[in-house]
Amino acid sequence: MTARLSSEEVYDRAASWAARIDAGSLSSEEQAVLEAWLAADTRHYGALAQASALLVPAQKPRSMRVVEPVRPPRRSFVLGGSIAAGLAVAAGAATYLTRIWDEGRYRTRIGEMRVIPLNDGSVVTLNTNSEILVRYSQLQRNIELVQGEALFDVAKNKQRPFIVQTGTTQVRAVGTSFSVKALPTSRFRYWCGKVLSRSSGGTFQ
Amino acid sequence: MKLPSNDRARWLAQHIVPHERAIRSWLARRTHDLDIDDIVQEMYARLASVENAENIRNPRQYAAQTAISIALNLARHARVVPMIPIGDFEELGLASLEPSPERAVNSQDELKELENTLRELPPLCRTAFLLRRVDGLSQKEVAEKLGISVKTVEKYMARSVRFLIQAYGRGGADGAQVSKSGAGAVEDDRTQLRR
Repeated sequence: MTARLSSEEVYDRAASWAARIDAGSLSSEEQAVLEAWLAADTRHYGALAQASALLVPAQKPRSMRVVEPVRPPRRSFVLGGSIAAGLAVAAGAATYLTRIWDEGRYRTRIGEMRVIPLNDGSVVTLNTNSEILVRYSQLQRNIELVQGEALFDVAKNKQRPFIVQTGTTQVRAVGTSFSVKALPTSRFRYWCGKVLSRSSGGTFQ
Repeated sequence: MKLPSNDRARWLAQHIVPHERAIRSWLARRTHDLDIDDIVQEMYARLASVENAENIRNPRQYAAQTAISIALNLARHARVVPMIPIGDFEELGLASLEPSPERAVNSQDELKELENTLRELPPLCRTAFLLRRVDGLSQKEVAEKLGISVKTVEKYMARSVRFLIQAYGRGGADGAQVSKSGAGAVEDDRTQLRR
C-alpha cells in the first residue's frame, strides 16, 4: 500500500490526468495506471471529477450535436425468432426494473442526527434514535421508516415514485419536503409539500 | 471505475464549482481538525457518481449536505467527539445556503470572470486553455493554431486546471478578484494570436 497522498498531491495528479484524458485516447497501459490510482482512494476520483469539470468545454463540440435519428430496422418475418427474442427482452426488462439498485439501512443513536444523501439526489435527515431501510429499484424508490423520525427532501422523478412506509401506512411524495414520524398507531405527519397516504391495501388519498 | 462522463463534468462545472468556495467556508465554520480538502474531494466523488444528477432540485444544498455527511463520518471514524454542532441542521442549507437569487449570469460575464481568474498564468498557457475550454477546440487544434506541440498543450491544460482548483477552492483566488485591466490584457493576447 502506497502512502496516502496529501490533498495537494492529489490535485496535482488529478489535473495531469484530466489533461491527459482530454488530450485523447489513453494507451491501455495508461488506462491501467489510472484505474489503479482511482481505485486506491475515493479522493482521487473526486479530484479527477473536479479537474474534468474545470476542463470540459462550455458547450458541446460540433461533432457531438444531435444527429438525424436512424430509421428503425424493418420488422423481421421470422416470427418464432422475434417472439422468442421479445420474451427474452421482456424477461430481461422485468429483472432490470425490479432489480434493487440501492439498498441500505441507516440508523442513528440517541442524541445523534444524520444527513444521508441518497444516490437519486434525494436527501434524508434522520432524527435521533431512528432507523430507515432504503430499497431503490428502477420502478420505485421505497423507504421503510423502521422507527423514529425522518425528514425527506425528495428529488423529483415522476417515473419512480418515492414511497415511505411506516407500519401499515404508506406515504407517497408528490411535493418536495416532508417528514415522517413513526408512532405506535402508525400515524404520520408531514410538512412543506404534498403527500398521498394510504393504509395497507387502500388507495392513495 | 468509470470515468465521469462529459455531461456530468459539465453539470459539476455549472452547478457545483461556482458554489465550492461558499461550501468550503460553510464547512470551515462547522468543522475543526478535519481536512476540508479531503471532504471536498470526497464530495466531488459522490456527486460524480450520483445516479441522476439532473433530478437534484437544489445542487448547492445537496452538495453541502453531502459534504456534511462526509464530515460527520470522518469525525466518527476519527473516534473523537464530533466537533460539528449538529443542533443546527434546521439551519443547514436553509439559511446560509439558500440558493442565492439566481444571479443573472450571461456567458459574457462568466467568460470575463474566467479570464480574470486566469490572468496570473503565462499568456500562452492561458490562451491555450481558453481556446479549449471556451471555444471548444480540441487540444490538437489548439496546438496547430498556436504552433506549439500537443504535449505542451496538454501541459498547459494541466497547469490551468491546477491553478483553477486552487483559485476556486481557496478563495486563495486573489486570482478571482476582478481587475478590468487584467481582462483586457487577456483579450489582447487572444486577438493578437488569432490574427
